[in-house]
Amino acid sequence: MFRTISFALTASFFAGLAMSGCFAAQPPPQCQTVSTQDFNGNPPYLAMLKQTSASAACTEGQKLASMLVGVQDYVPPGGGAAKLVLRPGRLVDLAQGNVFKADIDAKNDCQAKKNCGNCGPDGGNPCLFVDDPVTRSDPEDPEGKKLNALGGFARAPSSGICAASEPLVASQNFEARTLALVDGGMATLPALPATFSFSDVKVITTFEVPGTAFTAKLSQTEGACVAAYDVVAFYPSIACEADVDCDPNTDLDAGRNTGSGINPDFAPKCDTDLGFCVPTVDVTKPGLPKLP
Amino acid sequence: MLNTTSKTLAIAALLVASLAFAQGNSVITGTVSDAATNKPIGDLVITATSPALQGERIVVTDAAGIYRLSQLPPGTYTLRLSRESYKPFTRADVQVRVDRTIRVNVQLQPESLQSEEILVVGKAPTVDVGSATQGISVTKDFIDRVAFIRPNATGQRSFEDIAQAAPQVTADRYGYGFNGGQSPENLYLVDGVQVNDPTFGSLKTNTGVGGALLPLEFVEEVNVITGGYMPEFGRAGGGVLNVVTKSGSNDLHGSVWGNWWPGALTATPNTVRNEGSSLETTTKRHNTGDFGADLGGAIIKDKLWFYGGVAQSFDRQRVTRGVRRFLLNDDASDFLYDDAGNIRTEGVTSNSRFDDRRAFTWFGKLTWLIDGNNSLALSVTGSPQQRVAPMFAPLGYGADLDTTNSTTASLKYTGSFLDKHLLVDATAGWNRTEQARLPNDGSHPGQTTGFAGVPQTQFRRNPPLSIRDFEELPAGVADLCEPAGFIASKRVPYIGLNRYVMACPVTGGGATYNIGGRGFMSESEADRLQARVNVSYLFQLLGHHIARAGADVEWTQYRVNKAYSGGVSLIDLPAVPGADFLGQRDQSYLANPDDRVPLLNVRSTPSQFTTGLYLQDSWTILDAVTLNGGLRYDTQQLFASNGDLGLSLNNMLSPRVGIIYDFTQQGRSKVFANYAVYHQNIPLQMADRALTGEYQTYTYNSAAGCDPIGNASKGCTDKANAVALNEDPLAPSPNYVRFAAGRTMVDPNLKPTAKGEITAGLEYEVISNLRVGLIGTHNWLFNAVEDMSNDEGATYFIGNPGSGLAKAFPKAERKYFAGTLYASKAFTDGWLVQGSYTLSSLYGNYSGLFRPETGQLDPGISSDFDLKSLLVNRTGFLPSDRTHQVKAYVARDFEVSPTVSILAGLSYEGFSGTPINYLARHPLYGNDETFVLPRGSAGRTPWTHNVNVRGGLQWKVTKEQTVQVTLDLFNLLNLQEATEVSQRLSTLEILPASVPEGKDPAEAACLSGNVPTCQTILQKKVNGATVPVASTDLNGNFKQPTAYQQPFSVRLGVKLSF
Repeated sequence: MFRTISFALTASFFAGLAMSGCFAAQPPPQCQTVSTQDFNGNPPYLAMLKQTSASAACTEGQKLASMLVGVQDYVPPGGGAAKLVLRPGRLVDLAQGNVFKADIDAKNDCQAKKNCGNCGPDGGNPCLFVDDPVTRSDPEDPEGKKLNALGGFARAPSSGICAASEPLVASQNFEARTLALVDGGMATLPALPATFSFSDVKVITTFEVPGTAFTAKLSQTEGACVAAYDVVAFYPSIACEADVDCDPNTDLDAGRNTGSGINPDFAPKCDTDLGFCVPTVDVTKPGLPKLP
Repeated sequence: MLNTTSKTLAIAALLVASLAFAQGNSVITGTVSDAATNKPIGDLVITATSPALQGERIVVTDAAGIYRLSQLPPGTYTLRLSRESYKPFTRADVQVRVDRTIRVNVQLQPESLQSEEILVVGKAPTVDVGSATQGISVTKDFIDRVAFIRPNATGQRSFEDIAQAAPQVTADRYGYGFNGGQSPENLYLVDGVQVNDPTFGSLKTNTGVGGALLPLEFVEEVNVITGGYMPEFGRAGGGVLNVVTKSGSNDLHGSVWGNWWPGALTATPNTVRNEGSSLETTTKRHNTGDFGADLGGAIIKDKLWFYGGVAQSFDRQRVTRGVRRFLLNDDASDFLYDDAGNIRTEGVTSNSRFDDRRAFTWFGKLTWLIDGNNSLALSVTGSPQQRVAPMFAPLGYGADLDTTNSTTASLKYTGSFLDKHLLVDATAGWNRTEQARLPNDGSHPGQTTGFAGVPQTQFRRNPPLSIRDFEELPAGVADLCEPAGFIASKRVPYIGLNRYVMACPVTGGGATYNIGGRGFMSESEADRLQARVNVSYLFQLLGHHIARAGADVEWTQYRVNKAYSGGVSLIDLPAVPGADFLGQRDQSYLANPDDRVPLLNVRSTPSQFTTGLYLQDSWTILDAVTLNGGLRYDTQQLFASNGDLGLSLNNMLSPRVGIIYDFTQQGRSKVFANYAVYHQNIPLQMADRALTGEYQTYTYNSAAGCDPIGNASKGCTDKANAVALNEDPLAPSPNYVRFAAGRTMVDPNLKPTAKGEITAGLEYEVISNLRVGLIGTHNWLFNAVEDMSNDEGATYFIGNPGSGLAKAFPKAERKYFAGTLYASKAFTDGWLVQGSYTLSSLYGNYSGLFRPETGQLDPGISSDFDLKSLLVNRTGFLPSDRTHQVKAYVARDFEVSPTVSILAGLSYEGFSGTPINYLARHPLYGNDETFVLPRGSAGRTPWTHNVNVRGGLQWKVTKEQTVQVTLDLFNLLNLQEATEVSQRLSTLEILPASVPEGKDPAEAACLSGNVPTCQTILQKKVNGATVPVASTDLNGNFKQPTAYQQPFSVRLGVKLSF
């Protein structure tokens, strides 16, 4: 009996040990992004754009150095196809009118015109001074659903990347709009077809960067202006005036009872040109090497 | 009931494995020598007998005169020594406790000198010279005589409450924490089978029903091991509670008992004031009692024995909910105040209902002595429990229904081989825990009918809602309260709130009113299959060795069906009437932007697998020094519901070494020191919540289509009823926000939660059976496992604070220092003493597997450490820190006549208070998550003193029949000191303050009286700006009691034994 017992126990123990030996490492992170939504306190990603081409029609105001991007993934429980949305901030700004600047003193004296490089719907046009942002819409998409660039997304990472399975395209055919100017005049914004297409989207999914950064190629079309960019985006976009605004730690002396929300491994500092905190490491590479 | 397959599997495994177990691990050892020559006597036969022992045990001394009786069950032994040329010698009354080594040295007179048998009584030493283990062993004698154990919430006196008598043990919300640890960290063993709730690690739950229940009547002995234990026990970061159940013997014995704890003899408990609401709830005992019977005897004399018992307990509390209106002045512009400045109140109406708990426990055991070398024991026990707790809101579901059932089976084999030099004990065990948390209308999670289908809505509205917005009041008094639809407009400052002047508010100012369904509901089963084997080998090599090796495996599966009633939990916005309802914890996921797919309920089946292996040796040199050393190796894997590996803890190596020196060499003393490393297993809940993932969304539901008061709550979560959460044009889903989705990542360099411990001490038997000792303990954490976020809550991972992915976090810290002076006398000569004084400190930033501040029991994934911004000011004396603890238990029997005796027991427990914190709101984590000043700055709760008395009359009706009548007086002095106080300084976002160097934090911040030198250093955040805190921002209830000691009560008992 003793032999039987000891054999059974020894065998079951070593079987168990062998089984546990198979699981030496922790499982890799799953495909995920930060679901950006102000209610949750999660700001959009900041896409840092490197322009690779731009047509002659592009005004300075249309050429972008950075852009806010709303992000959300849809990975249903159990199985089924996963999806990813990128929501380009520039297109939302066009729809919401945030690219137009109101005349600050409402005197329509065009004093601001000199400083205003991006005052009209097409850049260099005469200033259109209005009190509120000029919202625009696509008659074929009244709810603005196509402001979201939606497409298939990987469920499991491969070599630290969760890729979008297709280009993610957001587009709006803004219809023409007549505006009442502050001084009583009228102006017309011409119709504007605009498309932002993200291709080769790769969401970095490693232990260090669990979906909090992505790379892509971006093609921008605004009317006649066509431009292309290489994109490196990271979470979160934090506006700044100085490095202290980017500090991942609380700073009680400065009245901040939370950190900036940027991963301390990103070693963020303030890029005063962009007005946003940016990482000083390469968020796309393993080990997060210092940027040159 | 859930889909189950493993019941059959478990039983099959028990049969196939055909394992068995030792009945005890205790040892009697010693040397036998010739009284005339002092030379050792070899080949001497020693026979041990005991009522606790089935049959007898025989050993023979070796050439050095040394003998060792191993694997003894605890009990009182008689040793008979005999050899030719020496006259027989008998030593009776050798007290053996569970897991102890007792040394009994004997000098025999040669036959030529002595002609009759020598009988020595009551002189055997009781010092455990074999180990440096720390703790106490509690027997029936103690339990029967000392009224230190109050029945638990179900009215039953269960085994785990024994722990409170041990030094360095502190009560916590879910049981008893040992040596600065918490109750879920302990290992609870019943007949060698672990019975901790596999999901949460604890034995108790918040509802008072839960976990394995074993009435003390079925218990032979409980060994409370608080520290210094050897590698044979593993997977626990805390201590061990090792329970040995009763067994049958050759004589038929049984008993019938009953106890009654009447409400009429219970003093009125103090009422906790609720300043924000006109509703006041009080709970008072109505009736508590238990009864049961047990029987044990032989099926085949000297071969096969049985023992069994049943016990039923019930507890009925009368819950009275009253409406007390606040008195207003004539023009309703202000309240009326009493001389102390409190608002005057007046009862309007009240009604009461019962809160009922009950438990049934059954136990059965068979013991089979196969032959002199092999035995088998099978024990099975179960404890179905239930609570029905009333809910008063007429728009609600009537009552909570909470049930649990813990079933445990243990098959143990004990065998000895190679002339008793090789000992084997093996256990196979199965433990099942079933739990349910339901509305009391027969509906279940996932159903759309009954109250399982109705969302719970919590109203927090301010200006407040009146009681009459929800309830009809009796005609004569209804007008004393504002009518439905009333909106208060006048506000006055009162205890830190700018409070609306209103007679009968039930919401606002921190008060809430719930209607609808149960909220979170669940039904679950957990099966735990265990097998372990220990092999001991006794050999000589420069002294005596007991080498021990063992292995164990365990597989656990948890099957849960959980839901929020109606699929969502609703909160009205604390703004104006007609506001939208926030749907939170909405069980659903998003398939596309704003495309919410509801999940009525979630079924999850996470599992875990652990293996352990250990090797240890206990080496005794010259009968004076014992060296213990060993190493334990453990692994644990947690699997997600879909079977995927979720988390893996490998290569947990726990070295343990100890040295014990008996300077009397007679077993009457020991000086000892021990070093040990313990690793903590992770309870399964992490695999359910974090490693399987939860899917929840939040949304606002328009009040236009969602009026829970009007009982239209089912329409609340209709897609058409969702409104945009807020203005975030960049949000891909404006109407819905994802709260949780998917599995939490695990740091690839994760290290297990581990603790180091040093103990050292001295123990001496001053007179027979009375030991006094001094012991020092220090333990500290190497690592802790918690979930954290590097980006202020956007993504989470499970890791170790201070290293790996969480290197930016402060390290988890919990340091415990304690010194204890104790005296202990087992029950002999009609009296017993157990007393201790402990001076201790518990310091750090991490309490353990649950958060005492909030009661959150989410082992490894609590809100501790979640964000770096939560950790400011978090280091200090932890909630379980009690500087002084005095525990004294005395009992004495008085013989009135040969058949009648009086039993008298007295206990005193005196504890100094626990630290109080200044808590405020955290911008991301809400109320009570910001430590405004360093942990513990607000002083301590008061000392508590508790005196209990037990008196009993024992009448021997015949030689075999005894009647015992007992009277327990709990909290004799009816001291109702506050045990908990409000730590909420404010509900506003107050910034954690950095205190000027060398200053007392509370004084510097003007929070402990108006000291002239204090300055307003506290700042609050208002709409992003930082402004100084005003006195009206502070909670006037701060430091007001929220719980008191239980009042005086009387418990009567009767027991018939034969």
